[in-house]
Amino acid sequence: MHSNTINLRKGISLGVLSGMIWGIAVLMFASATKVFEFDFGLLQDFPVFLTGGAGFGLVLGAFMEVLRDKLPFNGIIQNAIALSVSIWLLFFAGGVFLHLAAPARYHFEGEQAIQGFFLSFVLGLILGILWKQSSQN
Amino acid sequence: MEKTVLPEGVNKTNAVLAIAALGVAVLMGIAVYGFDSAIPGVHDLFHDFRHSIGISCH
Ligand SMILES: [Zn+2]
Repeated sequence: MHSNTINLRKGISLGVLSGMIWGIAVLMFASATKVFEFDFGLLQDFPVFLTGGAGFGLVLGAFMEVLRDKLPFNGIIQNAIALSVSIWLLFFAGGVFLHLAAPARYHFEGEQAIQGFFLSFVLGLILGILWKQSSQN
Repeated sequence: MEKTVLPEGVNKTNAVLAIAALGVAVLMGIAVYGFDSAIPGVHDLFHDFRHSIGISCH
């Protein structure tokens, strides 16, 4: 049954779930591409990426639910990807700003930025698929 | 007169969850930029995660 009322509990739950899946995917992907050298081992990083992924997913899922009638595309998956990339771009822009403000402290790495952009796309894809499945049930 | 204060579709659970989500958004900012002044040790803890998702670092 389609409900017109906002249900943040649903948005946040789906967001956290997809974010945790994504966090593990990010860990695996980044350790495989080796665009930078990890400071810590996979085992140590696992809970960090799980938490970081859940955090991003939570924020994304909450915005998905609140903005769902205002998103540009007809498809849920396209909207989730667009929103995920947009949120990543906001955080990325903050990083660029910090780099401009304090270049010695914050470095800009093109390959890592491209990887981050791609991974934000993946987070949107995961959330979109889970969201679509949950609305069909 | 709660209905005049809260827009349609907003209930108390949603309001609490919205504030919590904003709090998490702030925490994510602190984590991805590594603001140790806000949370000591957060820079090192989220270091590999930050580089993985392409946010400026050292
Ligand atoms: Zn670094």
